[in-house]
Amino acid sequence: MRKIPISQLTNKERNINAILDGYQNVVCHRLYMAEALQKDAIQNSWDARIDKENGKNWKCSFDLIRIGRKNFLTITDEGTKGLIGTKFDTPEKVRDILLSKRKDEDLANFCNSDWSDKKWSEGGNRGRGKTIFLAASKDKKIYFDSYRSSDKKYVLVSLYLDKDKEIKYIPYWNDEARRKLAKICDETISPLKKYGTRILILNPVSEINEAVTQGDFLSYINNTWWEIIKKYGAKIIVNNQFSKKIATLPMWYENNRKEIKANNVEEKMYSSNFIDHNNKINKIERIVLRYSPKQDVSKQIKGIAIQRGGMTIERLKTDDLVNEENISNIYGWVEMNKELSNRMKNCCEGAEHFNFFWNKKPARDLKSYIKSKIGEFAKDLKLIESENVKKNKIQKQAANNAIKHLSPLFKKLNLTGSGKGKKTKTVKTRRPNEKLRLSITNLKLPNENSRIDYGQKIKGAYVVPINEYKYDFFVLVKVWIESDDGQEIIIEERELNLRGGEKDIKIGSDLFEIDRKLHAGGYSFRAHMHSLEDTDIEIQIGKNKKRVEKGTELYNVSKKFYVETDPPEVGPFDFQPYPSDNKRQLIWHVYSAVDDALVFYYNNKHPKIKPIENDINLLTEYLVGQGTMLLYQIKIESLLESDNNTLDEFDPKLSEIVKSKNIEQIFPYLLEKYSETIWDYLK
Amino acid sequence: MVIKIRKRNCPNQYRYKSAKQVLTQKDIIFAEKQELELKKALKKTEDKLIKDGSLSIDGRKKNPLKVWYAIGITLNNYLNKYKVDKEDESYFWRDLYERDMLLHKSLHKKNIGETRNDYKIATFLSSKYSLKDLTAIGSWALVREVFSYRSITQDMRLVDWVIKELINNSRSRNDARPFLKNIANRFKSIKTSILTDKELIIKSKQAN
Repeated sequence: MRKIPISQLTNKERNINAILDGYQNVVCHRLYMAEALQKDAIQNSWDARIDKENGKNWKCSFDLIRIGRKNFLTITDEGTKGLIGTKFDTPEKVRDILLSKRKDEDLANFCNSDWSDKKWSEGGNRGRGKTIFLAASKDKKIYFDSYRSSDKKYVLVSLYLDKDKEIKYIPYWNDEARRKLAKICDETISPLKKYGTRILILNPVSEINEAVTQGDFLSYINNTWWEIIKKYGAKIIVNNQFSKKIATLPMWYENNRKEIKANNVEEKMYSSNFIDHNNKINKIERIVLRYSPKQDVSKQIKGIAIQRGGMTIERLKTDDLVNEENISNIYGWVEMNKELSNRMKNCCEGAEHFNFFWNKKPARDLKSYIKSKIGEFAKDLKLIESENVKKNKIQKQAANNAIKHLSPLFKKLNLTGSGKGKKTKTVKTRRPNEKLRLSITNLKLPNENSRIDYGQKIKGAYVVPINEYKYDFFVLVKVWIESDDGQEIIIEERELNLRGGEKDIKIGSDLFEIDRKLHAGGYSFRAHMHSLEDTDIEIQIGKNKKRVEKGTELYNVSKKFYVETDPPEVGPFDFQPYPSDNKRQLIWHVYSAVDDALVFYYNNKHPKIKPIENDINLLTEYLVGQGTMLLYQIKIESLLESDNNTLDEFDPKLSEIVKSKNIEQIFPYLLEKYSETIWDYLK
Repeated sequence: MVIKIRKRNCPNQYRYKSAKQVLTQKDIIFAEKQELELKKALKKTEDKLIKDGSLSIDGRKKNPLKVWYAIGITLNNYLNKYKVDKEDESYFWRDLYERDMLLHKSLHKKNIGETRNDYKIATFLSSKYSLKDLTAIGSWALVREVFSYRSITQDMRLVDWVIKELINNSRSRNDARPFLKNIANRFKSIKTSILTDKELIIKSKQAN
């Protein structure tokens, strides 16, 4: 008897979960399913548009609908062909259609998985889109209906995960399909009247509902499909039962950088370049790089968007590509020619269309090309520090380190430095609590001094508005970080009705991580509160009583910190480089004629100093050693000028040398002190 | 933009300055070209003013308003051609006083702050108002006094309202001072950017 082969059975439920895991790995946020769903849905619809050139009359809308006890997310498109292809009713016929590999068998391909053979310019061909639709349904059940442009037939398909863990579907045609639709949705949804397709996801999972209702869904669409919105005016609508919104172009991608509502956005465009000189096929059509010096580019836009088929597949973070400060506010996009797009899609793109494998060719060449262009752009903008700037920073830091180390000795020697003379010190006390105020009592910097390094976090980066009056105030509270050169990063800005007795609202963020988008230097955590209404109420604001009116500053608060740099040393003296060809000048001190400030100059052209001027540790060590000698020399000079009776007794040995005026003992004494200090420093 | 600037009080010593820190040879050549163009344009304007008698050869201004207005027009033309980055603006305005020019010969230029910078004020005014309108205000001294109040200059809508008020209701410098002070005090602790145009005007009128 002839044996009958048995087809391998697959647990499709686990397949669905495995596919979801794949999405979760590449999308990396809680609402990943919503982001994946919009991408796959629009991609399928855009690929099926009738006007391939300009996408004329194409439209795609997402609607959350409640029918009785059932919820639906429907995805409806227009200006598309509909699910065209050979009509079928039986499994055998479907198998024949799929095995024939004929073109334009969209219905058969859509009902089944991994049979599609799409072109380079089209989005997917891995069949994951349907899986995400099915996964998005709590009941693991979806319907789709289509009015087909090829034969004007109407089809409805019910697709579901069955109890035997198989995904099954039943097609209905024409009148039967209309009756089935009426039954599914209690006659509230009509059959399609224009060519196109509609997907009905039964009882969408809570994450999908949340994303659509709260607006994240629309922002995923804006950030993924901005290219077709910009080039073709593509109409994508999200209707969440309460409001209907159309996807718009994020301002950062405006055609003209002058239309971006941010100051001084710089741009550079490179077009029609080969990414590898040895290969004259793979070309980028355009790479646009932009830089926003003042306004922080939104997190979702940050990076270089790699575009394919009208959508953003992945954004490469600029600070991962070029390891320099100030780079993260460079963003932009890359459009590829059809050969490169095709190769990127077939050889390097992840199945979920959210990433590329950058270690494979041609992705590797493309990445290194992008990297070189970012480097060029950053150099043009002077974002990458020159050797001179770096050198200056090293010298300044070394001087600060040396001052820090020598300040105790300076005090011990009872010397006078900058700011010589009498000073009236104003004692600052905390101002008394105002009844209407912003509290930052939970703000904690990570280190004891106000320095914060990359990767460290400010805890409690928020303010608590407190209103101890009986009446309410309608206010605007803004919390932000401001650099010393005026650049702002807004943490939160909120309008609120601050009720009398209120003290539980937090505005800002529990944690604020210091990352490379903040260049090294001084910053302030700032917050202010302004009134948003005219009132007749007079309250105490600072020292005065003022009437609260629209615009009145009610309170402000500020806390200073330093990124990747120590707070400035307010030392009694300073070290400064002084390049000179005079061989007799190595290191010397001068009291400024203007303000009596004590300055130690060192000749950084001297062969002794030149080799170490770029090494912070060696330069600090040198300045500490030489500084010690100079401080003792200044002390000796001052002791020599004073009479014997007023010689202070802080070091009997030195007093003895001075009194005896025994010059040959001075140099050994200085060497001893030099040795002691360097020992302590290097220990 | 890289700007060629003179060392303080030493018109013959130059350096090149830019907020972008690194200077290439190309930047310096471009800065030289711009500098020459600006120098020629300012000299031409000065010559014209001397010719029509508004400016004497020893730097006295017969009609300061007219003189500064003409300089403002020249600077506007230059700035429309070459954009000065916001970060470099302070170098640009400060350096105008370091030039060897008749215009500021009689001024004590040691500490000219941004708010008292005649070049900057003139450039702003000539881009927005006609000479005829400004003449209605009266003296140059009064016009520039508007710019010495920080709470007025925080919002250019307010500056505009004050200038128009001075144009429409002519006042002597002494009479104008209380008016300016009232306006400045009115907006001292108000964030005007959250006010609509209408609200700003209502509040301004309250102070008048």
